[in-house]
Amino acid sequence: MNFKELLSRAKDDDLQAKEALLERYKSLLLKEAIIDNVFDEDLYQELCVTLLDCIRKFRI
Amino acid sequence: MRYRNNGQGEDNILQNQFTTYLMTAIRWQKIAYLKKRTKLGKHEFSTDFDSAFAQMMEVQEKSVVSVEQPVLDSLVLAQALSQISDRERYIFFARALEKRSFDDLAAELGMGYKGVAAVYYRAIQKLKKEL
Repeated sequence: MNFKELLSRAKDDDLQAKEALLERYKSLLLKEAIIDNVFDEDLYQELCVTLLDCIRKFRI
Repeated sequence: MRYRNNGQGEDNILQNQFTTYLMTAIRWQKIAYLKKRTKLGKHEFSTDFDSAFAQMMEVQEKSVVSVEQPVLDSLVLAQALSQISDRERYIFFARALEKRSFDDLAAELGMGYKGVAAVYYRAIQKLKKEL
């Protein structure tokens, strides 16, 4: 499945597509959630929510 | 793992656009999160009560009991003195032993002349009652 298809399906509230996107961006989110060499779980949670927000708001 | 695709083709362009979009959102989210955390940190009480208590006692000792307590030969007097508060004891010693004026003490403790005098006489009364 290519990215466009995945994104549009995720925008249509497809849970599997959302999961796939989250899986793809997981490493990036994990990396961004590290503050002062300490992994911040709360921040990771917030960033996951941000990703889902972005999927919803992003216009193809 | 490749962090960036080669940007060729519609699909890759779209993915790069989305990633950039996401990165901007993440940056803002992080700033907001850190702000919130520092704000909370300022209002939070430390749960480390032991060290907080020790610190408080230290500050109190520094501010109040700077007068060296004279050696007391009377056990009764010592007991009576232990009944009054730190501030009363400090003012009592400073007045009775060092002959300092109320004005002087008032300026040092940030109280009024009458306030210091009242504390002093109250201390005397308490001591009389104890003895």
